[in-house]
Amino acid sequence: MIRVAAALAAALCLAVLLAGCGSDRRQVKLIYAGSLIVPFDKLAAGFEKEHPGVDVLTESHGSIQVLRHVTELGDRMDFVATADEQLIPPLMYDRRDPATGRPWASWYCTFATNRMVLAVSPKSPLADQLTSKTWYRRLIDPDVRFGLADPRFDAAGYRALMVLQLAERQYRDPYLFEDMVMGRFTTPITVERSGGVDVIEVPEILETTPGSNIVLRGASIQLVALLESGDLDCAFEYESVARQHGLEYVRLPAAIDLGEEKDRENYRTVEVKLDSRRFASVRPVFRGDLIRYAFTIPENAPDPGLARAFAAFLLGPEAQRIFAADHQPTLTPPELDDPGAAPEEVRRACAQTR
Amino acid sequence: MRLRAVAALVVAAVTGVAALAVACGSGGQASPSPAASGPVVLTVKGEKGSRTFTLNQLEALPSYEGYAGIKSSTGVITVPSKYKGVPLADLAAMVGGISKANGVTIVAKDGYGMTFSYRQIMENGFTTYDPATGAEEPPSGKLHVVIAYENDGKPLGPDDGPLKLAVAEDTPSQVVDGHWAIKWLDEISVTRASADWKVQLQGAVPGEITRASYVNCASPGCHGSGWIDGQGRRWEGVPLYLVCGLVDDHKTHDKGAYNTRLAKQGYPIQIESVGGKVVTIDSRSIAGRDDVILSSKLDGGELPDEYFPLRLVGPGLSQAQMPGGIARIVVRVR
Repeated sequence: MIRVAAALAAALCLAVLLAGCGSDRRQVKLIYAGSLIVPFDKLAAGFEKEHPGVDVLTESHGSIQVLRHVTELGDRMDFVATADEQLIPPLMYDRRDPATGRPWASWYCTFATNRMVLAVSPKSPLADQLTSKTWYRRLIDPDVRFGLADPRFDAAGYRALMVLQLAERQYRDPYLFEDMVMGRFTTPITVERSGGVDVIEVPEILETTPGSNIVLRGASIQLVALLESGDLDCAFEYESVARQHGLEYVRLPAAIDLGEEKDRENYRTVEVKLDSRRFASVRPVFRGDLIRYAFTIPENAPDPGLARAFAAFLLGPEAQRIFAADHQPTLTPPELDDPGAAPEEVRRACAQTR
Repeated sequence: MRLRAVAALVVAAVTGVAALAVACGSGGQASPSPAASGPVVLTVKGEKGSRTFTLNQLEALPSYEGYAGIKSSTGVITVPSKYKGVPLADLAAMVGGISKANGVTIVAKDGYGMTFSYRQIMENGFTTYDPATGAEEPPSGKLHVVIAYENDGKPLGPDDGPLKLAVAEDTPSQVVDGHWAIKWLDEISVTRASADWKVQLQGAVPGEITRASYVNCASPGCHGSGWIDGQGRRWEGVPLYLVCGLVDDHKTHDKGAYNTRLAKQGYPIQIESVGGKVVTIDSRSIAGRDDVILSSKLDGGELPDEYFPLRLVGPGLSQAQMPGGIARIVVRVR
């Protein structure tokens, strides 16, 4: 199998290199959150179709890592999209490209939303017991194996912890969070109240105990395969990801699923603090809020003209159709945090998306 | 196409492709420059001091050579290739070693840091994947966490070197999650369980006890108490019932903080240790008892690692009911 992969690799490299030799094809490099993989694959194809002579190169990671590739690892990207708009100002506005002395970015456009759900394995014998009324009690049961993205690496992970803490108040069960996590991790995840905010503290080493019913993986997308295989009964996922993979899911109350504008203040009563120094540039504290995806164009984009064209394409009708078909909710109209700093093409596209 | 996929595939591709790339000027990879021999490239800190190493010094240490590859968070596989380096455990041993009470923090030049557990370093504690399919599978052999300085017989170049953390094994049969493969590595710190400990309390109200507050509270003139076990050892600390009084109702301090009425009605007290063990005690069995204590001292000194920072002790409790390493106490009043 490895040999086959290597041969395919060689052939692919050859094709790529030959395509690049002596041609004047342009490239636009996109980097984005893992939960956007399915629609962005189609966006890339759609953009290439509209722009013959352009190759779209794509790469995806957890949202923090997406930004870090641009600001710390020196990867020159044309277009950046993250699952959490809150990450862009501290990581890109407040820090400067040492080559130019300018901030990495000066505006962002919020273009999509989502909500957290409890995705259920089609092979789970407990599937019919996981309902919107019972899920939170069932997760305490040691027989129910549930998946959690690692909050140290994935926004879906820290958002899942927020959901669990918000559920404690929603269901008026003051020990719910403790019941979910107690005895499940070798170093506990704890909660303390500070200034009216429940602060969830994630330890530096996060490992499940032997026999724990929680399955921890580096990214929520890794949990999908375990749901499909039946190794998990359920897992916290974005609704769009669950639907893209044809998974059944439990819809959580709006007050806790981080997906309703009217409940935004409630979401803000939880916070996740990482006892970790994973990134020099990230203060690892995440405040509960509505899930809002945002994109920007880095100041050092290799082809900013093409990046602006892709941004306009993403906000246009063809992309909106792709997002809708892939169950990825978009924000209508999209919002610019600083219209004066955004490029004209993006401003115009935002204005037309109504 | 995916950039990382292409990067991984380039590694696997045949030499002719690379030659073609150079020939047509599309930016073939430059060969890695030789590692510098003089400057310090690694600092290792532990309980018994710190050591620094030049590349030459690292290369002179006993090494491990094996195969390491990664799976990115979105499933892209970088197939295993051969790495050579110094086992992390060997380096840690030079500054005091590691135990289950330690974490090992690896920091890169760009500030990226990850903390590894004892289980990861010593007991194969990684999720492993088949590099051909990306499917999860149990580790097929011993995993070695090494500080690598060589890949496929060449020094690591500026893209990820001169030092990189690799999780390697004898055969190229598995890969681990990419976030463990730290490039541009320059510091290793072996850290003990935090000296400034904190124990989470949960009850009718949330609370916590910290080292500083506990030292005050456990003084003999305040709420300090003690118990001498069957071996003549003196355990000192604060009675458990008084700690429950901090969170059993909304009166958290001063006289009457401990709600005797509630305690006599009975409620479970769950005590969770580092490691995830949970012991449940009935409030009626400890109500008003000064000799069932959360001890922070043994024979006048700090608790040993296995019990640090607090251990529940007292007459009538079995060994199983005397957990150490206490991290959280839940007082389940209704």
